[in-house]
Amino acid sequence: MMIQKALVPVDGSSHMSGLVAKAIDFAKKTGCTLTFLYVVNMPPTATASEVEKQKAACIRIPEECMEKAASQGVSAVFSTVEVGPPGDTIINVAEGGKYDLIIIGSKGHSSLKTLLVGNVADKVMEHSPCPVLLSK
Amino acid sequence: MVESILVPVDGSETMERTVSFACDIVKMVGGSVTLLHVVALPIPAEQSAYINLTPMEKWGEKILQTAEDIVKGKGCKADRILKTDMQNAGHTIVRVAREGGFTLIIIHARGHSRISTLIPLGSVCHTVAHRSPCPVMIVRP
Repeated sequence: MMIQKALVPVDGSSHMSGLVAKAIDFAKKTGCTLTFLYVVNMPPTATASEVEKQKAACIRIPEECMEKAASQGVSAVFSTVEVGPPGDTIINVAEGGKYDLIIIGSKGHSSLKTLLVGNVADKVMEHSPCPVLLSK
Repeated sequence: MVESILVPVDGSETMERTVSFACDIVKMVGGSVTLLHVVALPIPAEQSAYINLTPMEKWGEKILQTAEDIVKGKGCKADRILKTDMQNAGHTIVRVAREGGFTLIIIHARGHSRISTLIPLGSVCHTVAHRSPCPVMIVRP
């Protein structure tokens, strides 16, 4: 089983830079492509224009990761923004895009410092269609 | 950076997939594979004196041998560790990873559990993912 496409969900949290560095390192070693995914999580009551506004505000988060990876010599990097509940959306993108691996950070925005693994990572680990690399 | 990879094995159906996946990773990124089998007894430690562990440890060695054969078949080499413990296998795996300074654990999402289709993530994998000091790669069944 070769790894050709890796999906890297990023959330703009303080834990993100470590994850991005690890993903870049992994891509350089294995030669796989990287896709940085940001998921816009909006309440169901949000209007379409609010969602679009939020999407536009967040588009730089995965783009900056992509630029960083490109500048460090990863040849094929992409960035994308999706809207929905984070866990389910990550799994859907992984399934739809036929990714070989999800590289995810064990912690995100959660303010519960004592949580060993964040709830999004937990959900992805449980339901991912492909192997998951849990970065610490 | 070269990875020092710990691969816990339990003799379940998914073991072959996990072990050969670990070999693929080693071939791509470089490093070493160490196979670990934990004989875990869900009983209080003081009762273990009354139990003959030898057959279980022999069985564990057999599982390790099977796993090592898979590694050899992929053209790689592996070290072997057998541990016997009176606690959850997950905790033992985490301890071995910490003490051995491993940089990656590759584990399958679930192993022997009978209700395996109901739970997406086995208890051992869950413990390892949450408590591991190093990154964990989870191989899906």
